[in-house]
Amino acid sequence: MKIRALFFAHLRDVAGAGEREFELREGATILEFAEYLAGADIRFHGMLRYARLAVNGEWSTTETVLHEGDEVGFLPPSSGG
Amino acid sequence: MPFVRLTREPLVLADLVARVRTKECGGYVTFSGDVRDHASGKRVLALSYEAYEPLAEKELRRLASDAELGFSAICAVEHRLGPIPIGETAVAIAVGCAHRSEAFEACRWLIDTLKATVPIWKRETYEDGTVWIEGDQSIKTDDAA
Repeated sequence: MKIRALFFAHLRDVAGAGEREFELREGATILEFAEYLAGADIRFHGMLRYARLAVNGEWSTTETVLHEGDEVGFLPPSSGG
Repeated sequence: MPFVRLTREPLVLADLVARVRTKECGGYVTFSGDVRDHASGKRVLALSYEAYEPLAEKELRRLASDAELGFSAICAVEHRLGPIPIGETAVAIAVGCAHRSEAFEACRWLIDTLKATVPIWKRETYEDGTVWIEGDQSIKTDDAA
């Protein structure tokens, strides 16, 4: 299944783009997706310790099961205001 | 219903005050978060904000609604995105309440909670480079603000 991932702040630099598509196995969780990313690039390692997660524009958690076409956001700690 | 908006245009605090002014309120408190010319002992040359806009707007609306309920307030909040010149406003809040103490509390709670939770990020350029600010961390980037 195809997943669209959104990367913000320094994670965008790591990903090389703010938005990237990934092919994941059906039923993969965000945790598995993050582990896959860490395997592909060491700089993603440990991301779940600080990043908050969103799926389709709502807050989410590592256990969330992803579906075809989902948009997953990896959101570092905020610094607005 | 609170007024919330993310915008790339300059913010006008007086417009927000006008949005919350009603006959039920006797006290108004505003907050203006402006872009400083220095940070962490360095001169700031440029500053820019980015957001996960759909979620940032929802989260702002949630916070402002919580503040309205929790403090019996009327709230208006705007955050500017993109590059912002030094001295201009990045975030503006106006709160109206029946009495001043709830208005002060609601405004304080709103800006503190906004800073901690709304998915917006600041990029600052100094004389020696550009960083992303993430919580209390600064992370170097080649992507100038």
